[in-house]
Amino acid sequence: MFESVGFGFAVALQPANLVACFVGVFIGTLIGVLPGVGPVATMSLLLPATFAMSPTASIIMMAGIYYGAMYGGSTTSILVNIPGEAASVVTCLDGYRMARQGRAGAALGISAFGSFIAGTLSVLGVMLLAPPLARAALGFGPPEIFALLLIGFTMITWLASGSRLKAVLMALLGLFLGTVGLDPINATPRFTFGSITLSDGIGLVPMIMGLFGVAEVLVNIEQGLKQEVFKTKIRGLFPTRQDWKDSAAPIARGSVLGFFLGILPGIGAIIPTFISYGLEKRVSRHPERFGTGAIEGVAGPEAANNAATGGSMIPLLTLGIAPNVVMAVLLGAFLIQGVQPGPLLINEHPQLFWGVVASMYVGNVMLLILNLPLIGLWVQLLRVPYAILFPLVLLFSVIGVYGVSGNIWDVVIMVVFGAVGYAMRKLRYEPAPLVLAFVLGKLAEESIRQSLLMSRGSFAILIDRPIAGVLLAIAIVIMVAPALVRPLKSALTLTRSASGG
Amino acid sequence: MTSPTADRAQRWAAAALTAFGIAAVVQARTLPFGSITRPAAGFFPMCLAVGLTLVAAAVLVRSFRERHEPTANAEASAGRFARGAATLVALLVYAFALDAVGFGVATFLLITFLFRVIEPHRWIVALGGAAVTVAVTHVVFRIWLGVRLPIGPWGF
Repeated sequence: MFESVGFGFAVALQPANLVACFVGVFIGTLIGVLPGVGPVATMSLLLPATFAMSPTASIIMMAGIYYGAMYGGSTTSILVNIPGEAASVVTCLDGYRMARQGRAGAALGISAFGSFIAGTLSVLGVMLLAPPLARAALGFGPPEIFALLLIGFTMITWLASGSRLKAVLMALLGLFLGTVGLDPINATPRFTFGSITLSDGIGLVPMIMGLFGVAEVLVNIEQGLKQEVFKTKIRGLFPTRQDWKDSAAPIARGSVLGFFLGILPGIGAIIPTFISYGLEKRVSRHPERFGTGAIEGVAGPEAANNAATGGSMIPLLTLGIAPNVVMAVLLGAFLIQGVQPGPLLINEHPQLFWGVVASMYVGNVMLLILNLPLIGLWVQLLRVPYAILFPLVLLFSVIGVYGVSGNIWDVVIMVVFGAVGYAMRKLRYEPAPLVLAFVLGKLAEESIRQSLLMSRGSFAILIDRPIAGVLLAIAIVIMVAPALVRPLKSALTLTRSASGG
Repeated sequence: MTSPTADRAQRWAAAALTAFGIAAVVQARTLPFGSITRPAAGFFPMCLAVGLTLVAAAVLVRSFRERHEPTANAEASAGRFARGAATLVALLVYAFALDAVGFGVATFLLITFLFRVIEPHRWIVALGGAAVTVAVTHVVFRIWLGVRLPIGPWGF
């Protein structure tokens, strides 16, 4: 174990990988700071640039963008009250209040230190958990994979912020769109209508850039987004002893919560921040302070979103399953390099696995050093009007899509998904279930068809095999839990009101 | 607060998705289904298409029973909506123009349009901004990062 970690650091500290890590975390922080540009779009945009890089350097850079964005997102939340990144929405609640009370420095400082501590703990978690999980995953066959994916699908819809039925609909649409192209087993063309572009399937990059990048710009143009940077002298970035005392437990709780929630398919980095905020409010002796500038409300969620980035690497590196949209893009980066992440990754590409894991620690150190002195620069950047930024975001999206395939029709697909994504936002259909189901769809189809071939058409194979059975049971519990909890809650409320009245 | 416009929009969206589901079922029928013991290319798409249609129909039925809050940004003016639509059309035209006139000219025209028309700047800012954008993207993406970008008849 220690030998592997040492080997990982030797790989991560090679000059080319060090530069890749720096570029990744710098770009990540930059796009985290800028509202309307997220890690998904940026990573997709930079996919073509990874062609010329080594597999290790390219994955180090891509991972750096993801966790770098988590650091950067908090700056915008605290100073502008607009989340630079979706996972920093909760930070607005108390971070901006702290800034208005003249404590912007403390909020930015605890967010950076909390992120660093959580990032470090999550890297340790990956080092400890990934190798045994990869060994266990070697025993996974098609039924186990399908049962695991079923958990992912139920989580996606269970965690939908709006209508659950709409989320199921979007997941089914994503799965269906994933069947466009050649059948993965017999190579029969499906829904291609004679198009060469469609015979390769709908590209993930054009879909993501359209649904997230272009749609976001269209909504912002409609809103007429104006950002007002809170004018205050930022001083005292190093938290005081009292700040540390108040934040230590929230950082620890946020780290553990974020890491383990990040592992679960469908969760991502956003949900842990909300759960962490709720938890801190619940355990606090003064919950009324939350929303008025409580430092715990910044420390916990910021730790949670950084820890979740490490957690979400585990299913990708050990099972080859992307648990969220960002990891789906990272999976794309792996495949571009001809590397299939999964249980065999640690043995077949140890320099890649351990190099990437060690680079996450190196990257966290870089972010801490980078963020505190560069906060002034990020503030200046926030003053760039959106009217200047949005044409660049659109242009970069086009370059990102065209650069991957060199096919104009992929740009057209991006524009179409841009329009679809805009309509979805207006009508409150969530794009995340669609994209995640699209990504997992091919694997789901392969695994269920292979399972049925193995069992001669019996779905009982999903119950007969112990691991598949347990995974299926978890999926069913997640599926039926809301239906059971709701009547229980209403019964409880009725009982309380009856006894009170 | 609910809105009749939002109710109509939700119904139309659900109806469109139901129609899409039915079209998907029709198309999936043209593929070989196989059997449950040997599922073929049409097995998975057919199951999904049927599921999609049923869930979309359920959303449609529910949309008649429920009242909906106004759509996101419903207060945005028609002018602002038109700007979004114009941006989409400009991007589509840009996509087809890329191969015909090359990255440099197409991008210059697109950025000038976006700077001048969508979020109006002075002509000098729009033209200067477009020229700088083309130059910087050319250096960063084509020269540094080696991204393949379409070359027009003028060689850029």
